[in-house]
Amino acid sequence: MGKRVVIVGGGWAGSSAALAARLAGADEVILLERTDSLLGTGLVGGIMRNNGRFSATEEMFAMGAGHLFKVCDDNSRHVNMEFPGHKHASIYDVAKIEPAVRRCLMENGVEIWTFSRIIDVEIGNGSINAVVLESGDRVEGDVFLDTTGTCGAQTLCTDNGNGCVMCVIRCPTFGPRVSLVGACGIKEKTGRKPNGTLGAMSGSCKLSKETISAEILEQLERTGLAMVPLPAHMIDTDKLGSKACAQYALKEYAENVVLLDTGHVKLMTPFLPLHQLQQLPGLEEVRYVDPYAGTLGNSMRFTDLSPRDDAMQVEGHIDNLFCGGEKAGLLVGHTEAMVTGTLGGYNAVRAIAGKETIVLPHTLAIGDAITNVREEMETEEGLGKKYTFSGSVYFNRMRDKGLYTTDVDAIKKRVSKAGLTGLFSQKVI
Amino acid sequence: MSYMITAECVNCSACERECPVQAITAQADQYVIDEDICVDCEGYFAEARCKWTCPVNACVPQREPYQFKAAAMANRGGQPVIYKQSGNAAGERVPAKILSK
Repeated sequence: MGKRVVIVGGGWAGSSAALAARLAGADEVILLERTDSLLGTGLVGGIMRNNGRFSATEEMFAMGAGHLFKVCDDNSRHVNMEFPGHKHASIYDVAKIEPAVRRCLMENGVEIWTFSRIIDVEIGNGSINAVVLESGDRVEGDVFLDTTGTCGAQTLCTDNGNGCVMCVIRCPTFGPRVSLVGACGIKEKTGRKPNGTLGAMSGSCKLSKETISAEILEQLERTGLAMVPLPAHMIDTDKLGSKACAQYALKEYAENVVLLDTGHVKLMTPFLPLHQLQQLPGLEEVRYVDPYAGTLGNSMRFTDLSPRDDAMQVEGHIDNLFCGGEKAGLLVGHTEAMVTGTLGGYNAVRAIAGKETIVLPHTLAIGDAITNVREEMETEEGLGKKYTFSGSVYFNRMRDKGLYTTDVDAIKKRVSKAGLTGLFSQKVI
Repeated sequence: MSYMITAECVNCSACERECPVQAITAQADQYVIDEDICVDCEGYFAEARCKWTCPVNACVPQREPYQFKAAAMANRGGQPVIYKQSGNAAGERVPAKILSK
Protein backbone atom coordinates (compact mmCIF):
# COMPACT_ATOMS: atom_id res chain seq x y z
CA MET A 1 0.00 0.00 0.00
CA GLY A 2 1.23 3.53 -0.77
CA LYS A 3 2.74 5.73 1.86
CA ARG A 4 0.93 8.85 2.93
CA VAL A 5 2.50 11.96 4.46
CA VAL A 6 0.11 14.34 6.24
CA ILE A 7 1.30 17.87 6.85
CA VAL A 8 -0.57 20.16 9.21
CA GLY A 9 -0.19 23.83 8.34
CA GLY A 10 0.15 25.28 4.84
CA GLY A 11 2.59 28.13 5.40
CA TRP A 12 6.02 28.29 3.80
CA ALA A 13 7.26 25.46 6.01
CA GLY A 14 4.31 23.16 5.28
CA SER A 15 4.36 23.93 1.56
CA SER A 16 8.10 23.20 1.42
CA ALA A 17 7.67 20.02 3.46
CA ALA A 18 4.90 18.85 1.13
CA LEU A 19 7.01 19.40 -1.95
CA ALA A 20 10.05 17.74 -0.36
CA ALA A 21 7.97 14.72 0.62
CA ARG A 22 6.75 14.29 -2.96
CA LEU A 23 10.24 14.74 -4.39
CA ALA A 24 11.49 12.12 -1.96
CA GLY A 25 8.96 9.70 -3.39
CA ALA A 26 5.97 9.70 -1.03
CA ASP A 27 2.97 8.29 -2.92
CA GLU A 28 0.50 10.62 -1.35
CA VAL A 29 1.07 13.98 0.34
CA ILE A 30 -1.84 15.80 1.95
CA LEU A 31 -1.29 19.39 3.06
CA LEU A 32 -3.91 20.56 5.55
CA GLU A 33 -4.48 24.31 5.84
CA ARG A 34 -6.79 25.96 8.38
CA THR A 35 -7.67 29.03 6.28
CA ASP A 36 -8.70 29.56 2.66
CA SER A 37 -5.18 29.95 1.26
CA LEU A 38 -1.61 28.80 1.62
CA LEU A 39 1.41 30.67 3.02
CA GLY A 40 0.07 32.09 6.28
CA THR A 41 2.29 35.02 7.24
CA GLY A 42 3.96 34.57 3.86
CA LEU A 43 0.88 36.26 2.38
CA VAL A 44 2.14 39.54 3.78
CA GLY A 45 5.87 38.86 3.78
CA GLY A 46 8.13 39.08 0.82
CA ILE A 47 11.78 39.61 1.69
CA MET A 48 14.09 36.94 0.30
CA ARG A 49 17.81 36.51 -0.36
CA ASN A 50 18.84 39.36 1.97
CA ASN A 51 22.26 38.91 3.62
CA GLY A 52 22.88 35.27 4.65
CA ARG A 53 19.57 34.15 3.20
CA PHE A 54 21.24 34.39 -0.19
CA SER A 55 23.76 31.71 0.81
CA ALA A 56 21.07 29.51 2.35
CA THR A 57 18.89 29.87 -0.75
CA GLU A 58 21.75 28.85 -3.04
CA GLU A 59 22.52 25.87 -0.79
CA MET A 60 18.92 24.80 -1.27
CA PHE A 61 19.22 25.11 -5.07
CA ALA A 62 22.42 23.06 -4.97
CA MET A 63 20.73 20.40 -2.82
CA GLY A 64 17.91 20.07 -5.35
CA ALA A 65 15.23 21.88 -3.35
CA GLY A 66 15.16 25.16 -5.22
CA HIS A 67 11.63 24.84 -6.61
CA LEU A 68 9.82 27.20 -4.26
CA PHE A 69 12.77 29.58 -4.11
CA LYS A 70 12.52 29.77 -7.89
CA VAL A 71 8.81 30.55 -7.56
CA CYS A 72 9.81 33.47 -5.30
CA ASP A 73 12.50 34.59 -7.75
CA ASP A 74 10.05 34.38 -10.66
CA ASN A 75 7.51 36.48 -8.77
CA SER A 76 9.89 39.13 -7.46
CA ARG A 77 8.94 42.78 -7.78
CA HIS A 78 12.48 43.87 -6.98
CA VAL A 79 15.79 42.03 -7.08
CA ASN A 80 19.25 42.77 -5.75
CA MET A 81 18.04 45.76 -3.75
CA GLU A 82 19.46 47.30 -0.60
CA PHE A 83 17.79 48.70 2.48
CA PRO A 84 19.26 49.56 5.88
CA GLY A 85 21.32 46.64 7.17
CA HIS A 86 20.40 44.44 4.23
CA LYS A 87 22.03 43.70 0.91
CA HIS A 88 21.02 41.91 -2.29
CA ALA A 89 17.40 41.38 -1.25
CA SER A 90 14.62 40.16 -3.51
CA ILE A 91 11.03 41.04 -2.70
CA TYR A 92 8.28 38.78 -3.97
CA ASP A 93 4.88 40.10 -4.95
CA VAL A 94 2.44 39.20 -2.17
CA ALA A 95 -0.46 39.31 -4.61
CA LYS A 96 1.01 36.71 -6.96
CA ILE A 97 2.91 34.37 -4.73
CA GLU A 98 0.13 32.21 -3.28
CA PRO A 99 -1.42 31.01 -6.56
CA ALA A 100 2.11 30.43 -7.91
CA VAL A 101 3.04 28.27 -4.92
CA ARG A 102 -0.26 26.40 -5.12
CA ARG A 103 0.36 25.65 -8.81
CA CYS A 104 3.88 24.45 -8.10
CA LEU A 105 2.67 22.09 -5.37
CA MET A 106 -0.19 20.75 -7.48
CA GLU A 107 2.11 20.17 -10.46
CA ASN A 108 4.26 18.09 -8.17
CA GLY A 109 1.32 16.03 -7.00
CA VAL A 110 0.65 17.54 -3.59
CA GLU A 111 -2.99 17.44 -2.51
CA ILE A 112 -3.95 20.68 -0.76
CA TRP A 113 -6.90 20.84 1.62
CA THR A 114 -8.06 24.28 2.75
CA PHE A 115 -10.71 24.91 5.44
CA SER A 116 -9.07 21.97 7.18
CA ARG A 117 -8.30 22.96 10.74
CA ILE A 118 -7.25 20.05 12.92
CA ILE A 119 -8.89 19.83 16.32
CA ASP A 120 -7.73 16.44 17.55
CA VAL A 121 -5.23 13.65 17.03
CA GLU A 122 -5.56 9.87 17.29
CA ILE A 123 -2.60 8.06 18.78
CA GLY A 124 -2.00 4.33 19.15
CA ASN A 125 1.14 2.41 20.11
CA GLY A 126 3.31 5.52 20.15
CA SER A 127 2.35 6.63 16.65
CA ILE A 128 -0.13 9.11 15.28
CA ASN A 129 -2.77 7.23 13.30
CA ALA A 130 -4.89 10.16 12.18
CA VAL A 131 -5.75 13.80 12.68
CA VAL A 132 -9.34 14.92 13.09
CA LEU A 133 -10.59 18.05 11.34
CA GLU A 134 -13.17 20.54 12.56
CA SER A 135 -15.45 19.34 9.76
CA GLY A 136 -15.43 15.86 11.32
CA ASP A 137 -13.23 14.44 8.58
CA ARG A 138 -10.49 12.16 9.79
CA VAL A 139 -7.23 11.94 7.89
CA GLU A 140 -5.04 8.89 8.39
CA GLY A 141 -1.36 8.84 7.52
CA ASP A 142 1.96 7.04 7.90
CA VAL A 143 3.90 10.08 9.05
CA PHE A 144 2.84 13.55 10.19
CA LEU A 145 4.47 16.98 10.20
CA ASP A 146 3.60 19.89 12.45
CA THR A 147 4.16 23.08 10.47
CA THR A 148 1.41 24.99 12.26
CA GLY A 149 3.67 27.88 13.17
CA THR A 150 3.53 29.82 16.37
CA CYS A 151 0.93 32.54 15.76
CA GLY A 152 -2.49 32.54 17.38
CA ALA A 153 -4.88 31.76 18.90
CA GLN A 154 -6.39 35.12 19.73
CA THR A 155 -5.69 34.63 23.44
CA LEU A 156 -1.96 34.71 22.68
CA CYS A 157 -2.32 38.25 21.34
CA THR A 158 -4.82 39.29 24.01
CA ASP A 159 -2.68 38.01 26.87
CA ASN A 160 0.81 38.89 25.62
CA GLY A 161 0.33 41.49 22.92
CA ASN A 162 -1.96 44.45 22.38
CA GLY A 163 -5.05 42.41 21.64
CA CYS A 164 -6.33 40.85 18.43
CA VAL A 165 -5.24 43.27 15.73
CA MET A 166 -7.02 41.43 12.93
CA CYS A 167 -4.01 40.13 11.06
CA VAL A 168 -3.75 37.78 8.10
CA ILE A 169 -3.82 34.75 10.42
CA ARG A 170 -7.56 35.37 10.85
CA CYS A 171 -8.10 33.24 13.99
CA PRO A 172 -11.63 34.47 14.73
CA THR A 173 -12.91 33.48 11.30
CA PHE A 174 -11.13 30.21 10.60
CA GLY A 175 -10.62 29.09 14.17
CA PRO A 176 -7.47 29.12 16.22
CA ARG A 177 -4.33 27.22 15.30
CA VAL A 178 -4.07 23.88 17.05
CA SER A 179 -0.54 22.63 17.61
CA LEU A 180 -0.21 19.02 16.49
CA VAL A 181 2.78 18.50 18.76
CA GLY A 182 0.86 20.04 21.65
CA ALA A 183 -2.20 17.90 20.89
CA CYS A 184 0.04 14.84 21.24
CA GLY A 185 0.79 15.93 24.80
CA ILE A 186 4.40 16.89 24.09
CA LYS A 187 5.59 19.87 26.10
CA GLU A 188 6.67 22.80 23.97
CA LYS A 189 8.91 25.77 24.71
CA THR A 190 8.14 29.45 24.52
CA GLY A 191 10.31 32.26 23.22
CA ARG A 192 10.63 35.40 25.30
CA LYS A 193 10.94 39.09 24.56
CA PRO A 194 14.04 40.83 25.95
CA ASN A 195 11.86 42.21 28.74
CA GLY A 196 11.02 38.63 29.76
CA THR A 197 7.39 38.47 28.62
CA LEU A 198 6.14 35.69 26.37
CA GLY A 199 6.33 35.57 22.62
CA ALA A 200 7.41 38.25 20.20
CA MET A 201 5.55 40.67 17.99
CA SER A 202 5.64 40.45 14.19
CA GLY A 203 7.93 43.10 12.87
CA SER A 204 6.08 44.78 10.03
CA CYS A 205 2.73 46.11 8.87
CA LYS A 206 1.27 46.67 5.44
CA LEU A 207 -0.22 49.90 4.17
CA SER A 208 -2.58 50.38 1.30
CA LYS A 209 -0.76 51.50 -1.82
CA GLU A 210 -3.69 53.63 -2.91
CA THR A 211 -3.35 55.81 0.17
CA ILE A 212 0.24 57.04 -0.13
CA SER A 213 1.46 60.02 -2.13
CA ALA A 214 2.40 59.73 -5.81
CA GLU A 215 6.01 60.72 -4.99
CA ILE A 216 6.53 57.97 -2.42
CA LEU A 217 4.73 55.46 -4.61
CA GLU A 218 6.89 56.30 -7.60
CA GLN A 219 10.08 55.89 -5.58
CA LEU A 220 8.83 52.62 -4.07
CA GLU A 221 7.91 51.08 -7.37
CA ARG A 222 11.14 52.20 -9.01
CA THR A 223 13.60 51.24 -6.27
CA GLY A 224 11.61 49.05 -3.90
CA LEU A 225 12.49 51.30 -0.95
CA ALA A 226 11.33 54.60 0.51
CA MET A 227 12.43 56.12 3.81
CA VAL A 228 10.54 58.91 5.56
CA PRO A 229 12.38 60.44 8.57
CA LEU A 230 10.39 60.51 11.79
CA PRO A 231 10.26 63.77 13.78
CA ALA A 232 12.23 63.53 17.06
CA HIS A 233 9.17 63.26 19.31
CA MET A 234 7.99 60.13 17.49
CA ILE A 235 11.21 58.14 17.76
CA ASP A 236 10.73 55.18 20.11
CA THR A 237 13.82 53.00 20.26
CA ASP A 238 12.37 50.86 23.08
CA LYS A 239 9.95 49.30 20.63
CA LEU A 240 12.78 47.59 18.75
CA GLY A 241 13.18 45.09 21.60
CA SER A 242 9.70 43.71 21.15
CA LYS A 243 10.21 42.73 17.52
CA ALA A 244 10.26 39.17 16.24
CA CYS A 245 12.67 40.17 13.53
CA ALA A 246 15.90 41.14 15.29
CA GLN A 247 17.54 41.72 11.90
CA TYR A 248 15.47 44.88 11.61
CA ALA A 249 16.15 46.09 15.16
CA LEU A 250 18.52 48.77 13.89
CA LYS A 251 18.40 52.48 14.62
CA GLU A 252 17.52 53.34 11.03
CA TYR A 253 14.22 51.58 11.61
CA ALA A 254 13.54 53.57 14.79
CA GLU A 255 14.42 56.92 13.22
CA ASN A 256 12.66 56.47 9.89
CA VAL A 257 9.53 55.03 8.51
CA VAL A 258 11.06 52.38 6.24
CA LEU A 259 8.77 51.30 3.42
CA LEU A 260 9.32 48.40 1.02
CA ASP A 261 7.33 47.53 -2.09
CA THR A 262 5.90 44.03 -1.72
CA GLY A 263 2.79 44.81 -3.70
CA HIS A 264 1.44 46.23 -0.52
CA VAL A 265 3.55 48.89 1.14
CA LYS A 266 5.49 47.04 3.81
CA LEU A 267 6.05 49.27 6.84
CA MET A 268 9.04 47.98 8.77
CA THR A 269 7.77 48.53 12.29
CA PRO A 270 5.58 46.31 14.49
CA PHE A 271 2.94 49.03 14.83
CA LEU A 272 2.52 52.79 14.70
CA PRO A 273 -0.55 54.85 15.60
CA LEU A 274 -2.30 55.96 12.44
CA HIS A 275 -2.59 59.57 13.56
CA GLN A 276 1.20 59.71 13.97
CA LEU A 277 1.83 58.04 10.64
CA GLN A 278 -0.53 60.52 8.99
CA GLN A 279 1.61 63.41 10.27
CA LEU A 280 4.39 62.40 7.88
CA PRO A 281 4.67 64.06 4.47
CA GLY A 282 3.18 61.84 1.79
CA LEU A 283 1.33 59.64 4.26
CA GLU A 284 -1.44 62.06 5.23
CA GLU A 285 -4.17 59.75 4.00
CA VAL A 286 -2.54 56.42 4.70
CA ARG A 287 -4.39 53.37 6.07
CA TYR A 288 -3.49 49.87 7.19
CA VAL A 289 -4.28 46.68 5.29
CA ASP A 290 -2.47 44.25 7.60
CA PRO A 291 -2.96 44.01 10.43
CA TYR A 292 -6.13 46.05 10.17
CA ALA A 293 -5.40 47.44 13.63
CA GLY A 294 -1.69 48.02 12.93
CA THR A 295 -2.25 51.32 14.65
CA LEU A 296 -2.14 49.53 18.02
CA GLY A 297 -0.23 46.29 17.66
CA ASN A 298 0.76 43.25 15.67
CA SER A 299 0.43 39.50 15.87
CA MET A 300 2.27 37.65 18.62
CA ARG A 301 4.47 34.66 17.82
CA PHE A 302 6.95 32.17 19.23
CA THR A 303 5.04 30.21 21.75
CA ASP A 304 4.87 26.47 21.13
CA LEU A 305 8.39 25.66 19.98
CA SER A 306 8.69 21.91 19.49
CA PRO A 307 11.49 19.87 21.03
CA ARG A 308 13.22 18.39 17.97
CA ASP A 309 16.45 16.83 16.82
CA ASP A 310 18.55 18.17 13.98
CA ALA A 311 16.72 15.99 11.47
CA MET A 312 13.49 17.82 12.42
CA GLN A 313 12.01 14.80 14.17
CA VAL A 314 9.97 15.80 17.21
CA GLU A 315 11.37 14.37 20.44
CA GLY A 316 8.97 12.68 22.80
CA HIS A 317 6.77 9.62 22.88
CA ILE A 318 5.54 9.79 19.25
CA ASP A 319 7.62 8.01 16.61
CA ASN A 320 6.11 9.38 13.39
CA LEU A 321 6.08 13.11 13.99
CA PHE A 322 8.32 15.76 12.40
CA CYS A 323 8.19 19.54 12.41
CA GLY A 324 9.35 22.56 10.44
CA GLY A 325 9.14 26.34 10.31
CA GLU A 326 8.74 28.48 13.40
CA LYS A 327 7.67 25.35 15.25
CA ALA A 328 11.19 24.06 14.80
CA GLY A 329 12.73 26.87 16.76
CA LEU A 330 13.37 30.54 16.94
CA LEU A 331 14.35 30.64 13.29
CA VAL A 332 12.60 33.66 11.84
CA GLY A 333 11.57 34.13 8.25
CA HIS A 334 10.29 32.55 5.07
CA THR A 335 13.66 31.25 3.92
CA GLU A 336 14.24 29.70 7.34
CA ALA A 337 10.78 28.07 7.28
CA MET A 338 11.37 26.70 3.77
CA VAL A 339 14.70 25.24 4.81
CA THR A 340 13.48 23.50 7.98
CA GLY A 341 10.23 22.46 6.29
CA THR A 342 12.09 20.88 3.39
CA LEU A 343 14.39 18.93 5.69
CA GLY A 344 11.41 17.83 7.82
CA GLY A 345 9.41 16.66 4.80
CA TYR A 346 12.40 14.83 3.35
CA ASN A 347 13.29 13.09 6.61
CA ALA A 348 9.66 12.15 7.24
CA VAL A 349 9.77 10.14 4.02
CA ARG A 350 13.11 8.58 4.96
CA ALA A 351 11.56 7.52 8.26
CA ILE A 352 8.62 5.73 6.63
CA ALA A 353 11.02 4.14 4.15
CA GLY A 354 12.85 2.65 7.13
CA LYS A 355 15.96 4.70 6.44
CA GLU A 356 17.98 6.75 8.88
CA THR A 357 17.13 10.43 8.94
CA ILE A 358 19.73 12.87 7.67
CA VAL A 359 21.32 15.75 9.57
CA LEU A 360 22.90 18.50 7.47
CA PRO A 361 26.57 19.19 8.28
CA HIS A 362 28.13 22.25 9.93
CA THR A 363 29.92 23.03 6.68
CA LEU A 364 26.61 24.32 5.32
CA ALA A 365 24.88 27.42 6.68
CA ILE A 366 21.62 25.49 6.87
CA GLY A 367 23.06 22.60 8.84
CA ASP A 368 24.93 24.92 11.15
CA ALA A 369 21.85 27.08 11.80
CA ILE A 370 19.58 24.15 12.56
CA THR A 371 22.01 22.71 15.11
CA ASN A 372 23.07 26.05 16.56
CA VAL A 373 19.53 27.27 17.14
CA ARG A 374 18.49 24.00 18.76
CA GLU A 375 21.41 24.29 21.16
CA GLU A 376 20.65 27.95 21.87
CA MET A 377 17.01 27.15 22.57
CA GLU A 378 18.10 24.87 25.36
CA THR A 379 19.24 27.92 27.36
CA GLU A 380 17.05 30.59 28.96
CA GLU A 381 19.19 33.31 27.38
CA GLY A 382 18.88 31.67 23.99
CA LEU A 383 15.08 31.67 24.22
CA GLY A 384 15.21 35.45 24.46
CA LYS A 385 16.84 35.81 21.04
CA LYS A 386 15.73 35.33 17.46
CA TYR A 387 17.77 33.66 14.76
CA THR A 388 17.84 34.30 11.05
CA PHE A 389 20.24 34.01 8.15
CA SER A 390 19.57 37.67 7.44
CA GLY A 391 20.88 39.44 10.52
CA SER A 392 21.48 39.63 14.23
CA VAL A 393 23.34 36.89 16.10
CA TYR A 394 23.08 34.12 13.58
CA PHE A 395 24.21 36.19 10.59
CA ASN A 396 27.21 37.26 12.68
CA ARG A 397 27.98 33.60 13.32
CA MET A 398 27.61 32.85 9.62
CA ARG A 399 30.17 35.51 8.78
CA ASP A 400 32.55 34.37 11.53
CA LYS A 401 32.44 30.83 10.22
CA GLY A 402 32.85 31.89 6.61
CA LEU A 403 29.41 30.52 5.68
CA TYR A 404 28.16 33.81 4.25
CA THR A 405 28.98 34.28 0.61
CA THR A 406 27.25 35.40 -2.55
CA ASP A 407 29.59 33.30 -4.67
CA VAL A 408 27.21 30.73 -6.11
CA ASP A 409 30.00 28.49 -7.38
CA ALA A 410 31.60 28.40 -3.94
CA ILE A 411 28.25 27.39 -2.46
CA LYS A 412 27.80 24.66 -5.08
CA LYS A 413 31.30 23.44 -4.22
CA ARG A 414 30.68 23.22 -0.49
CA VAL A 415 27.43 21.35 -1.06
CA SER A 416 29.23 19.00 -3.42
CA LYS A 417 32.07 18.53 -0.94
CA ALA A 418 29.51 17.51 1.66
CA GLY A 419 28.19 14.97 -0.86
CA LEU A 420 24.74 16.54 -0.84
CA THR A 421 24.32 17.81 -4.40
CA GLY A 422 20.78 17.11 -5.54
CA LEU A 423 19.95 15.40 -2.23
CA PHE A 424 16.34 16.56 -2.02
CA SER A 425 15.54 15.63 -5.62
CA GLN A 426 16.41 11.98 -5.14
CA LYS A 427 13.70 9.53 -4.29
CA VAL A 428 14.21 7.59 -1.09
CA ILE A 429 11.21 5.30 -1.60
CA MET B 1 -29.69 18.89 27.85
CA SER B 2 -31.16 22.32 28.02
CA TYR B 3 -31.35 25.44 25.93
CA MET B 4 -29.25 28.52 26.57
CA ILE B 5 -29.30 32.17 25.50
CA THR B 6 -26.24 33.62 23.82
CA ALA B 7 -24.91 37.16 24.12
CA GLU B 8 -26.98 38.07 21.06
CA CYS B 9 -29.93 38.47 23.49
CA VAL B 10 -31.60 41.87 23.11
CA ASN B 11 -33.64 41.60 26.32
CA CYS B 12 -36.99 41.58 24.54
CA SER B 13 -38.56 39.13 27.06
CA ALA B 14 -40.38 37.12 24.36
CA CYS B 15 -38.82 33.86 25.53
CA GLU B 16 -39.73 34.45 29.14
CA ARG B 17 -43.39 34.83 28.18
CA GLU B 18 -43.39 31.77 25.92
CA CYS B 19 -41.50 29.30 28.15
CA PRO B 20 -43.93 26.57 29.28
CA VAL B 21 -41.98 25.78 32.45
CA GLN B 22 -40.90 29.28 33.53
CA ALA B 23 -37.21 28.41 33.18
CA ILE B 24 -36.27 31.85 31.85
CA THR B 25 -35.59 34.94 33.94
CA ALA B 26 -34.05 38.36 33.37
CA GLN B 27 -30.53 38.64 34.74
CA ALA B 28 -28.12 41.57 34.87
CA ASP B 29 -27.21 41.72 31.19
CA GLN B 30 -29.62 39.41 29.43
CA TYR B 31 -32.23 36.68 29.86
CA VAL B 32 -30.94 33.35 31.18
CA ILE B 33 -32.36 29.79 31.04
CA ASP B 34 -32.15 27.73 34.23
CA GLU B 35 -30.81 24.43 32.94
CA ASP B 36 -32.30 22.51 35.85
CA ILE B 37 -35.80 23.63 34.92
CA CYS B 38 -35.57 23.59 31.10
CA VAL B 39 -37.01 20.43 29.52
CA ASP B 40 -36.27 21.38 25.90
CA CYS B 41 -40.08 21.79 25.58
CA GLU B 42 -40.47 18.02 25.49
CA GLY B 43 -44.14 17.22 25.97
CA TYR B 44 -45.08 20.85 25.29
CA PHE B 45 -43.97 21.80 21.81
CA ALA B 46 -42.31 20.10 18.85
CA GLU B 47 -39.63 22.81 18.78
CA ALA B 48 -38.11 24.63 21.74
CA ARG B 49 -40.44 27.58 22.32
CA CYS B 50 -37.69 30.05 23.15
CA LYS B 51 -35.87 29.19 19.94
CA TRP B 52 -39.13 29.46 18.03
CA THR B 53 -39.92 32.90 19.35
CA CYS B 54 -36.52 34.53 19.70
CA PRO B 55 -36.22 37.39 17.19
CA VAL B 56 -32.41 37.25 17.08
CA ASN B 57 -31.73 33.49 17.19
CA ALA B 58 -30.10 33.80 20.60
CA CYS B 59 -31.78 30.69 22.09
CA VAL B 60 -29.73 27.63 21.20
CA PRO B 61 -29.20 24.12 22.52
CA GLN B 62 -26.73 24.40 25.38
CA ARG B 63 -24.03 22.24 23.94
CA GLU B 64 -24.15 23.88 20.58
CA PRO B 65 -23.44 27.55 21.07
CA TYR B 66 -20.04 27.00 19.54
CA GLN B 67 -21.40 25.28 16.46
CA PHE B 68 -24.06 27.95 16.23
CA LYS B 69 -21.48 30.70 16.23
CA ALA B 70 -19.29 28.73 13.90
CA ALA B 71 -22.01 28.28 11.33
CA ALA B 72 -22.45 32.01 11.28
CA MET B 73 -18.79 32.57 10.58
CA ALA B 74 -17.59 31.95 7.03
CA ASN B 75 -17.07 28.25 6.40
CA ARG B 76 -15.97 27.29 9.92
CA GLY B 77 -16.70 23.62 10.35
CA GLY B 78 -17.59 23.30 6.69
CA GLN B 79 -16.15 20.75 4.33
CA PRO B 80 -12.51 20.98 3.31
CA VAL B 81 -11.87 22.38 -0.15
CA ILE B 82 -9.43 20.15 -1.93
CA TYR B 83 -7.02 21.17 -4.65
CA LYS B 84 -5.23 18.49 -6.60
CA GLN B 85 -4.06 18.09 -10.12
CA SER B 86 -5.67 14.81 -11.06
CA GLY B 87 -9.41 14.24 -10.91
CA ASN B 88 -11.91 17.05 -10.91
CA ALA B 89 -11.18 20.72 -11.12
CA ALA B 90 -9.48 22.47 -8.23
CA GLY B 91 -11.81 23.45 -5.48
CA GLU B 92 -14.01 20.38 -5.57
CA ARG B 93 -15.64 19.53 -2.26
CA VAL B 94 -15.14 15.94 -1.21
CA PRO B 95 -17.55 14.67 1.40
CA ALA B 96 -15.17 12.05 2.76
CA LYS B 97 -15.93 11.73 6.43
CA ILE B 98 -13.09 9.32 6.90
CA LEU B 99 -10.13 9.42 4.62
CA SER B 100 -8.74 5.97 5.35
CA LYS B 101 -5.58 4.65 4.00
